[in-house]
Amino acid sequence: MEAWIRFCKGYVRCKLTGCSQERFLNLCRVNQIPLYHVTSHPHGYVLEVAVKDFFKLKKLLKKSDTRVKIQAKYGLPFLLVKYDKRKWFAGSLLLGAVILLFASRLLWSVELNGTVSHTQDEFIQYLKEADIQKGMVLNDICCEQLEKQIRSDFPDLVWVSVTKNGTVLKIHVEEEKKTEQDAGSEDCSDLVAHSDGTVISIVTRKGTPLVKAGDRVQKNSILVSGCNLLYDDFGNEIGTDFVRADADVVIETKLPYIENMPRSYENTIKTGKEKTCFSILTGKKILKIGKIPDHFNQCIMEGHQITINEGHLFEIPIRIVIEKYHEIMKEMALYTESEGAQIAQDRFRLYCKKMGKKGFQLVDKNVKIKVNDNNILAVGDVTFQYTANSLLPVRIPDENEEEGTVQVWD
Amino acid sequence: MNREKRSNFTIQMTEKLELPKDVMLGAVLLHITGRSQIEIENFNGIQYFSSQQIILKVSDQRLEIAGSQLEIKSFYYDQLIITGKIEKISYIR
Repeated sequence: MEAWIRFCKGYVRCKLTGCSQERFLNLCRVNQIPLYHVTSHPHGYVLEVAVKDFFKLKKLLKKSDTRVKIQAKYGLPFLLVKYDKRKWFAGSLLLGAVILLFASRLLWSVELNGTVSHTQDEFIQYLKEADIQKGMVLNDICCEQLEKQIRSDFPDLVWVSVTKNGTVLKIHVEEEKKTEQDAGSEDCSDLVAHSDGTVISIVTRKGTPLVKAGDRVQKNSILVSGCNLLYDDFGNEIGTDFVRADADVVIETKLPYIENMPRSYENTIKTGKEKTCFSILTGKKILKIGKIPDHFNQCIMEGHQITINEGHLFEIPIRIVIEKYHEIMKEMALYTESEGAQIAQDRFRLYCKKMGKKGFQLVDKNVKIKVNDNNILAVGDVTFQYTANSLLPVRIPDENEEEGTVQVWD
Repeated sequence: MNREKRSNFTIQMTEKLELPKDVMLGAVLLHITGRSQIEIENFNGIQYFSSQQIILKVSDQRLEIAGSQLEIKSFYYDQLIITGKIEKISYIR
């Protein structure tokens, strides 16, 4: 430590020659001038003395009839003089290190995992209301308290974990899993058809089936009833049991498919001229470098954003956006026959994919594509199979009501 | 004579009252670390210094430190640190 302090203050190494060198050492001692690393050499002593004390030696040298010659200079004052032209570089490095040190104590990112029914924006708004936002000191955030607060304000979350990882606040939650049984497990409901079609197969687990394989059904017709009639040994009806109908009923349905698109389209051609612009974003502040040239009549922009150290422990809230502007020309063009057919096929595939998400499986298709002068036409019909899962609730009648009446709610 | 009497009296009082001798009698303090370093306090000055021998003035006698590659690591008003290969420490009248 002492060596560092000496280095910061600066010292010189000198050679002492003359008559009474020991007297000089004693005079330094009496005048409280510390000396370091004094070594004996054939022609004199070599010693180190602080820069400030060196200027006090003149009188002592005269008294002891000795001479001193500087051999080397060490320390920060000499370094600063030597690298005077580089001082701004060193200063900015130091400033950058200080800013980094300061910024590492603040919150710059919030990571949320495990939410399904609650959106990220909802949570960010909630955190803002709880006074937790980007740029605040990390030590001011108490993770345990925040966990308790989230658990009390969101009763459907069964588990909450809040941790601080570098400058990122990680919130991991787990929601209560609702099974199909939980949703109205005590309700009585009928299984109805989604759309018109033919029943392919039926496997009943609960309820009374009203259709069999091969029957034609219409939209919203009851397939499996939730009301089970109870009979005694003699075949007399003694009561009704109300359950939630549960069965696998596979229905095949044929749907028409018509798609009409124009054959002409606006084609964008790049002229080859382009310009790159940069933007630096920190929070809400934007610094834009470069602008779109005035002679670009029309242009399109390709851009991408770089976040420094994204996803890592120390995410710096500085984003660099690189935007490339291309000058374009627009002209009307016609799809060729093969291009038109390809587009129609892509659209049909997209339609089947959407139907697939709704539970409709493609069985057969009979679609013809025609490419005319002005438009592209795809006409035909498509056969789908789906498993009925629409439930219609049935109100269980009270004891005061007349027997045999069941009201079906829409 | 009086001076000698006063000196004897001081020594006796220091011993009987168990007072620190370096403060009362100006005795030299040596703190030796192995054979490589020695810290000296309560000395009056350097009489001779070379890489094989250092002679210091302490109270009314002299202290000789002999060895090789001797170097004064730091030399303050009240403390002296000597490093090197120390072979002999002796008092000379």
